[in-house]
Amino acid sequence: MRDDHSFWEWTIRPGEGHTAAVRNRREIWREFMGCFEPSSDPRDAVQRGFYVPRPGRTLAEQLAARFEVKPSASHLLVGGVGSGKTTQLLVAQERLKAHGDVAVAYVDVSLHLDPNQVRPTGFVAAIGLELGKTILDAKRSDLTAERMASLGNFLDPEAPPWANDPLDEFLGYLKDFIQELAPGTTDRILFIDSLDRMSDVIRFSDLVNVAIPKCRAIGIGIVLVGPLTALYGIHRTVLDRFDRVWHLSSVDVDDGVGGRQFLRSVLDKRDKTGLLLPESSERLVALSGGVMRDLIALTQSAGGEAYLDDAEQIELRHVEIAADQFGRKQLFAIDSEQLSVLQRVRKSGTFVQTSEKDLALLATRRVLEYTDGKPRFAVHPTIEPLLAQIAGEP
Amino acid sequence: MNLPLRSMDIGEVALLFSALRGNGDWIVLVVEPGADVHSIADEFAEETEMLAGFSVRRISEMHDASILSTLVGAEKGALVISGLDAWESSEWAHLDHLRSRLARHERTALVMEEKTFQRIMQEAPNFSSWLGANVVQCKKVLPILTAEERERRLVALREWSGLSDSDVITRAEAQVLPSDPEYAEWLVLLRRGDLLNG
Repeated sequence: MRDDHSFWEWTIRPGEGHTAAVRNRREIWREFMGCFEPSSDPRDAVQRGFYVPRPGRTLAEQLAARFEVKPSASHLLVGGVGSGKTTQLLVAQERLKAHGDVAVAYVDVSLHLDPNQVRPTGFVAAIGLELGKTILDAKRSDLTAERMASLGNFLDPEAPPWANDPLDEFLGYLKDFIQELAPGTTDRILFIDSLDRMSDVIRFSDLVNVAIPKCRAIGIGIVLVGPLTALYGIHRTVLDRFDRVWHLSSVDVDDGVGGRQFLRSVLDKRDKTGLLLPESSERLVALSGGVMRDLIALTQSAGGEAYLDDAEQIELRHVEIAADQFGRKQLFAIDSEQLSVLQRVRKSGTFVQTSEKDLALLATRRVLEYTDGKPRFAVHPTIEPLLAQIAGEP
Repeated sequence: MNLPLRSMDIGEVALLFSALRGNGDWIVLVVEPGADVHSIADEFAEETEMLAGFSVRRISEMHDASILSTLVGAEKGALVISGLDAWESSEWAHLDHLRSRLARHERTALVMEEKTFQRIMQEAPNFSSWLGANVVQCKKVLPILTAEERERRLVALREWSGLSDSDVITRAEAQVLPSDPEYAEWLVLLRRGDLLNG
């Protein structure tokens, strides 16, 4: 137990009523767990000052630098679930905005259509709706409203199909919307999120082959968050459509101290009340496998354990319970074939992506790929002891 | 094969649920085989309201992912949802694609059978990443404490608050007992749960 301010905030002080102490205790834990919400909007985290740059030159910095040189470039960003892709997009957007003379917009296309059903015209319509909304939020524009109705109608699954494909017409709207949003700028860049949820790689390939050249033709640069599976298999030729492909892998917590220090600083930034003991932070970092969202989720869960345990700080045993609970969830619904693959990765570190099921292990973070230092694969640390237990090892 | 999920009783899960700040927190309660999903969900919602002091909207029928995403986006308060066990795997995949529309500023609990959670883990990797470790197997019946366990817990509560059992009962009767969950637990241990609604 630490003899510091955080402890005394919920401990009954001489002359103070017990009620205040009790309320303090729950509020302090609530506040703590509120800083570790795995499903919170990355924009909130950035706004609350929780963003910590990765070691070295961050992806956001590199993207911003490349767009300064070539604004109409197209980039593909891939990474496992929870690796921090959206956060990097948002930070890169802020950096570019700070330079001025650049029109930058972030669009989550899944707010307007199912990413797995997206086709080029729907893709452009979804972007147009988002940009048009920004215009209408700022000022009344009859023309924009009329065009928005048209875009919305196209995406309405109940509406009758259109006689002719309005792709070029919608691209014209897009160009006008951007012009209206940022008059006087020549560089226009769109950050398109959520297409990593496309499980149909053929459809993704079709989308990219049509939409990317069209956007480039009207002078729009793009960063597209795409499916991790695009990196593998016969459809990886689609990668040639992009100027650059970025793979945001997990932070390697075993490769020197840089990765661990970075993840510890993520925890320090959010643990304003000092509830994490140093050894607990260290263990959480290791158990996260370097996956940002898992680090956040495990910490919140360890906090919940400590709260239920009437503890005053998060101790190692709370972390271990949270990790066991997390690992059991991660192993749920694994079939025997996938189990064999996981056991092989655990024992030998070898992983060859030959099937959809193998790729699913990567996408769901049961297998982690590290590319920052020496490339390697590992099973998620929370499932490692459970796999050993299944294998009957002591 | 599935390893058993962590088992917790409803009261414990409700305590945890109420301690979250609730800014988009999701939790899944998997019921034991043969248990009635809706009654567990009802009990969980009631328990949460009692412990946390905020109201919970209970939804027992949910036809598809589109309706769910619309509803959770529009609802402002805490939600406890059941009625998801008839969904096909493809519906969970659809929900996963629409995950951004599920973003909300309150807490949400989903109560379901094990086979349904299995579908989530197979079809909804993006959504399941939001759950973190917040997935538990829910025991309906509260474990019966031995006399020794009960007394040990009462001693801990007395030390923690500086109050006696009679102080707590007197304050509850006078309706001046704080609404913190520890006091609710205390009254239950004293077999004076009748004072909880006072």
